[in-house]
Order: sequence, then structure tokens, then C-alpha cells
Amino acid sequence: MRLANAILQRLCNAILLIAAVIVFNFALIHLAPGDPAQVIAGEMGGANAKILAEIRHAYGLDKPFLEQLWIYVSHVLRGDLGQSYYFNAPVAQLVAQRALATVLLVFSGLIAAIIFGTLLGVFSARRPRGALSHGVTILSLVGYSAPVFWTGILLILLFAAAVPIFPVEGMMDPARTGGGWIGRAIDIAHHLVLPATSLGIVYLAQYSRLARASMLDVLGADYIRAARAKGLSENVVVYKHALRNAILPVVTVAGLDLGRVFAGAVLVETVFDWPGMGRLAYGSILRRDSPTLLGILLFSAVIVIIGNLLTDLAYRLIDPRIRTSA
Amino acid sequence: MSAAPLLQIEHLNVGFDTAMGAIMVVRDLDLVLEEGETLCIVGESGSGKSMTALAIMGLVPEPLRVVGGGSIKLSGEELVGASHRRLRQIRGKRISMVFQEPMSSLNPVFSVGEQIAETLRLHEGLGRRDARAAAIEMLQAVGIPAPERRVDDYPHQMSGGMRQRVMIAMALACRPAILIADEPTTALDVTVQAQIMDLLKDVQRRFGTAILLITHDIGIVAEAADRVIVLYAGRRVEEGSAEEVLRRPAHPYTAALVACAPQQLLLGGERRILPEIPGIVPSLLRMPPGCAFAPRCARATAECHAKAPPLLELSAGRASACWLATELGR
Repeated sequence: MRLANAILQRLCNAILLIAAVIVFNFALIHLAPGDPAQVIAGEMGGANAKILAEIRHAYGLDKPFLEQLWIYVSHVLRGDLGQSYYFNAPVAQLVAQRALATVLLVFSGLIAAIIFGTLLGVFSARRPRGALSHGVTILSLVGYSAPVFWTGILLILLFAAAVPIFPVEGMMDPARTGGGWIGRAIDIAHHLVLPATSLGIVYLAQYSRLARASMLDVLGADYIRAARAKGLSENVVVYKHALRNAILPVVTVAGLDLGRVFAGAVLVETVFDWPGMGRLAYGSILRRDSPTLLGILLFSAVIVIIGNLLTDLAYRLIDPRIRTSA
Repeated sequence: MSAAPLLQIEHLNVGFDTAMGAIMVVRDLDLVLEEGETLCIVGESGSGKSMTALAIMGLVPEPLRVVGGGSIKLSGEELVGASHRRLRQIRGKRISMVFQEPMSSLNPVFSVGEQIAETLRLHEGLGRRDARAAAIEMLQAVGIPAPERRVDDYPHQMSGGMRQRVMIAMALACRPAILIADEPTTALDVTVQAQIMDLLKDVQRRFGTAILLITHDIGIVAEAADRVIVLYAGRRVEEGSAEEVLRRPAHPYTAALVACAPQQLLLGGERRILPEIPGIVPSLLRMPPGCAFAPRCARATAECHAKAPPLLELSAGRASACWLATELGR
């Protein structure tokens, strides 16, 4: 019952938040320099003032700001994200085509980083002066400092040029035939390895460091000594009693990262020619294709909000102290 | 000699090596705990009393360890050097421990019922439902009202006194022969302290548990102990029945501890300034060559500063490590 209330309350907040995001994004794009009409005209091979005015009229760009905002908001409320200036296709369709690729890339990279990072952190916290612990410290320093595109290029050199075991670009092998959906899934997973790894390494570094510190802290707690005094085996002490407490900071940061990781995806998608939203966003900025950009921003906002909601729920699941205080 | 004593410690040394030589936290400790009795270990912070408790549990924290040829025997079974597996079978089952900080000694993310039941499932092989029922029974036994409701509470929903009751329930769940209580009331309010001490005495009577009570509070010794061992800087300085030691301390340190107890003022009925022992416990790195207490002792002689006194047996079960012991103990 309490849980249902909490979810309901957060959903209401989320809806208000999304409404605010729609309005602010539109205003921001409107304030940004650059004229879509110029770009469209440029694509057509140049134009005079009369044609520019016609383009503005055709796209509604000559209307006052508030009227444009109203048109946009009312369309979005009806589920219509508008038409891309550049592709001349519905924005919803453009985003949908690429969203899955990006979500797949981002989530597999982030989730792998969280799982492996936490495990590395736990292992090294059990022997804080051991070789693995020092290894984790070095790895996290290097991994965290190295830019995503650079790690990507190194991975390409290593696993696509020197030891060619993974494909370098794209999401699927266009020449592949047959194999059914399982074959297709394997093909996508094969293409996913390098981009997800280069995206994940930064986060792996961060999570291993975070989990190590948090675990070291928890392992020194009185209740861990008390758990040992009960005669529990070391594995139960570490993975049941300690980890459940030590994982809380990891969950917090994971929720925040869910928003940040999309920014990193742009670079990875560029390096690996991944057909995702990051590159669409970048291109749309250059092309002043504001409807597409707005659609992408809205989608990202929704993902971040869902991510925060999930973090909240995970927290309540793990820590009873939050359950009662809310 | 008939059967082996319940717990017998001989020549226990706990310490660690540093660049400046070995640092000993506990030195040459002998101790016997018989079934059903309460033995108090008294001393200031740093006297080695908690480390003795952890040594019995086999939980001495790194880099400390049991060194030398010391021995800890539980009903004749050697625990020093026993396998981890065997020690885990003993912890929580034959020997349990209650810690000083009830606020932080319970895991915040598990309900108190789960934490009690966990011990029962581990050592008694109970199923989920039986363990839960037994946990409720234990909560009842330690005087928690409405135990069938409180069993699902989390530690943060309980007060300090309640949590210490839960700790005691957890420790006693498997009916251990020995309960080690390390300053079990220090972190609690005075009124709650008395309740917890009463509870300990009560469960001891009901379950026949031997209690090794570690404290710095001479008042608790007077209230609860059958026998007492006084530790100073890792060494036994005095030992005997609680009554004798408190009435006629045979070591100046014990005498000073007794004089410092506020209860003395109440008994005396007169208002005077509470005495204190001047100075602090010597650093383990720079132990004086003679008696460790000599620098703080009002009665110290040249001999005390030069040579450490051995532990002298004054009468059966009564001993003191002081050159003036015979004179004092009369």
C-alpha cells in the first residue's frame, strides 16, 4: 500500500517534470542561434529572400514564439512529435528506429559495468592490500581518465585489426542471410561487444572504485563483526550482510549515470558507426533540425525519469530505512 | 581433576610485530570459567579486555593475532589453531557474544527476526518457519513486548535498550554454554543499563549460561560478578571472588578503581570530590621496565619501578601482582 502510494506520487511528479522539459526544451532551441530555413534552403541549392520567406511560412517559423510553442505542445500531447526538416519523415519514427540501438548499447555497457565493477570492488575490498586491489586502483585511474573515443579506437586496433575477432562497425552484418531471430540476436551481440566495452570501461572504473570504498567501509562495521560472531561463513558475511549495505551508493550513482551515459553514447556511436540516437542528435544539431532534436531530448528525459523511478524503487527494496521514512 | 573446566585459558598472548618490536595487547593471561558462573574482566580502555574476548571467539582483528604457545580450551577442546570451519561451528552455538554498541551491531537491512532466525537455521538446522517461531520465542524470553509483531521490525525501529535485548536474544538463541558480554550496557541510559543487567542475570538463571562479562564499571562487578579479574596494560594484576576483591583490594590499581566508583560516595553519604587515578595507561610501545602501574601508583617504591612483580597467589583463587600484595590484601 505504501509502495503503491510512493509510485503514484512519483508518477505524478514525473508527468509534471516531462511537461516542464517539453516547454523548456522548445524555448531553449528557439533561443539558440541558427535558422532552419537557411539550412533547408541550403540543401535545396540556395535561395533568395522570397523563397526563404516561403519556407518559413510553410514550416510555421514566421509565427510568434508563443503560438509556435502552443502548436508544438498541443501536437506532442496528441502524440505527434512533428516532422523532421531534414529527413522529411515523422520524428517519432526516426527516434523509434534508433532508440532501440542506443538503449541496447547504453544499457548493456552500463549494466555490465555495474555488475563487474561491483564484483571487482568487493574482491579487492576483501584483501585491501592485495595485488587485485592495487590492480583495481590502477585500472580505475586509467579507465576513468581515458576518453571514450580513445578507448574505442584502441579496442578497434586490438580486436578488429591485430586480432580480428569482433566487427568494427554497424550493428548487423548486412551480408548475413538466414539463421532466424536467434542468429540475428547473436549477430547483434557480436557487433555490440566492442562499443559496449568502450562505453562500459569508464563506468567499470568508477563502480569498482565506488564499490571497493563502500565495501571497505561496511566490512569495518560492528554488525559485520557481530555476523562473524554468529558463526556465519565468510561468504555469507560478505555477500549477504556486507554487500546488501555496500550496494546502496552504487545504486545511487547508477541512477545518476543513466542520464549521463547517453552523452557518452554519441562518441561511441560515432567511432563504431552504431546506428543510434546519439549520432542522430549530433547531426540534427548541425542541421538545425529542431523537431528531431526536440524529440530526442524528450525521449532522453523520459529515460532519465524512468531511471530515477527505478533507482527509487531499488532503494526501497534494499534499504528498509527508506521504506518507513517515505 | 575431574572433567575439564568449561573454558580454560592458559598463557594467552595477543599482539603484533612492528618495526619497533612486538607489541603485546594481552600478556600471559590465565583464566578459568566454570559452568553457570559470571566472571568479570575489569580494566580501562586499552587494558586488553576486549581483545581477550575476541581471542576466545577466534576473531582477533588483523594485524593482531594470538602469539606464543597460549591455549584456549573449551571443555578440553583446543581452540587456538582450530580450523575456521570448527570455530564457525562453535561461534554462536557454544560461545556467543554481545557487543557494546547495540545501535550499530545489528544489520540495518535485515529484520531483527531474520537476524535471530539466521543463527538458528545455521546451527540448529531449523526451517524458515520453525526458526521464525523460535525467534519470536527468544524475543519473548528477553522481555520484548508483542514479540510476534516486533519480529518483523527493523533495527532502526527499536530503541537502544530494545536492540540490546535483541542482541542478547540472538546470542542466546542456540543456548550457548558461554555468553561473552563486552560492555553490554556502556552505550545505554542508566535506567536501561539496570534492565539489561537484570535480564542477563535472569537468562543466566534460566539457561544456566556462564557469562564472561567485560566492563570498566566497578559498579557492574559489584552487582553481577561471582569472580573478577582485573587487567592493567594487558596483564592480570588481581584476581579473586568479587566480594573479596572489592572489599579488600590486594592491588593499588584495584583499590584506586574501587575508590573512583561513584557508588562509594553514595554509600559514604558524605559529599566529597570523586577521586581519580592520575596519569594514563602506558603506551604499549613504551612499557615501563618494572610494574606497569608504578608510574601512576601512590605507593610505588624503587623496587616497583625496577622489577615487574609476579602474580602471587594469596589464597585459593585469590592472586595479586604487586610487591605489596600481602600487606594490602589483609
